[in-house]
Amino acid sequence: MIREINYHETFDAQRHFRTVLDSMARPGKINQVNDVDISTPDGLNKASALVAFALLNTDVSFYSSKNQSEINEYLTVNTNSKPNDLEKADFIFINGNDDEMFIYGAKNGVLEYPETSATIIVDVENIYDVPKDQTHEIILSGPGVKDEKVVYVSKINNDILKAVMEQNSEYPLGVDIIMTDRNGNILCIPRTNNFRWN
Amino acid sequence: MAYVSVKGGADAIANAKELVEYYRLRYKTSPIEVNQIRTQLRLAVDKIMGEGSLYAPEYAALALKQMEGDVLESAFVLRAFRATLQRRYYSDIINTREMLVKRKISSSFREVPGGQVLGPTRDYTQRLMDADKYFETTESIEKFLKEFESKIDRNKMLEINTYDKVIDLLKREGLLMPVEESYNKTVKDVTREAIKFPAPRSVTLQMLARAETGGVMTMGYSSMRGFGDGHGTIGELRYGAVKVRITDPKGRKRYIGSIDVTECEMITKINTNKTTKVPYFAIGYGLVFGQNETKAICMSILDRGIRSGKKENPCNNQEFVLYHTEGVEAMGFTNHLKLPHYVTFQSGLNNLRESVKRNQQDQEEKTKLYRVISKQTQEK
Amino acid sequence: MEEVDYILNHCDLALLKQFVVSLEAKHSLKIAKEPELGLTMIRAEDSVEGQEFFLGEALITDCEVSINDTTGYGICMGDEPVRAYCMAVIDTLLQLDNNSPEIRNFLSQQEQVIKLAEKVEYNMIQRTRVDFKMMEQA
Repeated sequence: MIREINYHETFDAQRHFRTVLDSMARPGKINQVNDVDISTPDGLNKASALVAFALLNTDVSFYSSKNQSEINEYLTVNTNSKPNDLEKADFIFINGNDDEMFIYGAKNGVLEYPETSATIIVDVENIYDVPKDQTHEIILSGPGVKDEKVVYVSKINNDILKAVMEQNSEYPLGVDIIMTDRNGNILCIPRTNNFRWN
Repeated sequence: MAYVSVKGGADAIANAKELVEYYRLRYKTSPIEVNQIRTQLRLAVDKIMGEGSLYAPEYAALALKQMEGDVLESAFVLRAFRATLQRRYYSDIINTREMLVKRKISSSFREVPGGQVLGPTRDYTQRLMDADKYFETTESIEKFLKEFESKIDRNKMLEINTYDKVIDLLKREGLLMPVEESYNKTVKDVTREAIKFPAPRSVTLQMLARAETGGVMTMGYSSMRGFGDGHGTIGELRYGAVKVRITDPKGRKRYIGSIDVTECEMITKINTNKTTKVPYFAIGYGLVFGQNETKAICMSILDRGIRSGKKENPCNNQEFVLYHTEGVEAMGFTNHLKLPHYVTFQSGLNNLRESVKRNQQDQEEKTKLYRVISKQTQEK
Repeated sequence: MEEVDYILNHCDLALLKQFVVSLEAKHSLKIAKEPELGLTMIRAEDSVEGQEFFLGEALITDCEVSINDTTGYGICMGDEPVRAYCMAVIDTLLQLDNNSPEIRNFLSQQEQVIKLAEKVEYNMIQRTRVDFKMMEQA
């Protein structure tokens, strides 16, 4: 059964929304979104699904880069949102390993309404705040970050990070990133952030 | 403008709320059933749904009971109720051509597809007070229903039909104004974003559909009297049920019920297109919840006026019409005057007292000076 | 699908409930989403130029029921938890067996009742159709 009966549409959504808000306001702060028992289709981190439940509704659309047959139905049933083309979708769900074309294809707003851009939820394997093997270092700075903050992310394609920087080069146009890992950690990189990576 | 905070009024407010309830119940008349309101005060319910912008007859009826018959307050309560609910679907565009028609008339053409069907209307009755209604009983109701239903011979019934629209005939003849390419067709939702003027036509239609009936009527009437662009004729006025369909989470088209609507197409005077010199009719469109013909008619007059009327006339001004017919806003703002404006008024009062005092002093100075001068003059 | 939805939306609620109660006994139904109030925004368009606009919202109740992996949805206008639930149950069962005799039987019975009532009302309304010929004869 696809519908998540353990999820509370008001209280869980509100709590997770506040968590995402906190992460967006403090880029580099790693928060947890993992306190509801759900079973997601392959290719979608539980934290990504919970973020989707908090943010999506019938007024917005989404696009998934993988397992569309299951993920599209899963998100439609649980959020009343609808799938759309990559170029028009308000929320885009991709994997850290995906090709960077998903970032280039996303809408990044117009000068009069920069907020009509896409929010991109990126599923990675792990997000740490200490160095670990096989991770990429991401150094965040800018509004909401005191000096600099370093995070370590595994299974992310460098070209994706490059594509995000390019999409955001004409601020206020740009895209905002919510990164989730397999353990329910989330990290947000809003377009106001200047990040570097290794 | 600072509002003095209402401390020390908390008790008075709680007691006022109770007192209102006392005034509603003090005569110990039998509790009004919501179902009675819903079925026997149909037109009030329709008006409330239209102004509350929520099709929910049962709740509109409840609101009317709660608000002791104040239709606009009921609409307000209904709007507030709506704001607590999740919007999970957007329906397919409703099709008034497949309407199950209860009433259908045209003032422009005598012969129309399906004929002139008067339907349930008091239009042709004299507005004489009916004392019999005072003495209605369950028995008299049953008697009436039995007699009325027996007037249909069940063995000789006509099959149900839907009808072509009058304007479709005009369209086919090429008599309707062609749609201007430059016209802004953007669909906006006033419940989702703040509207700036000038706004596209979708905003005009949405706001008029949920506007306060009296306000729309006033504006429509003034338009007809010359403050707008005069008198059109009703191409067609329909009242009936239209089907509402949505897409379910599995992507299937589902029928979820029907809503009653009143629709009006107003044909306005022949206009000549300056470049091509082709004469044509222009149409104004009105569509509202329930049976509310005055509102649909005036909505159609205003729709056309806003699009092509002379801008000097107030009821052709989009912002003037849409802003001031928005019932909840209008009622709210006019009634806000009841809130304490003590500081505002006090400062105004002080300024006035100061200037009165200064004026008196000036007068006294002038009088003294005049006496001195005149005395000096006399002494000379 | 629309015919089924139409019948279930307009048939007598007590009869519908009674029928679905009899079905419940025979299947292991699970309520995935309890009947809940919601809204649909109603889209309309002007009949001449096709300008789309938002007419206003309608109150709806929707419900989701499942039998193992088959899910059915009941969606109807108004505050109608029982009706929405019954519609969801029948949707699920028809997905499992679209020709279920007992369901099809119930539907066709109710359809007749509804169609008759509509026809009667239509004929009552037709009595108010103006006969211009009679005016001219006088």
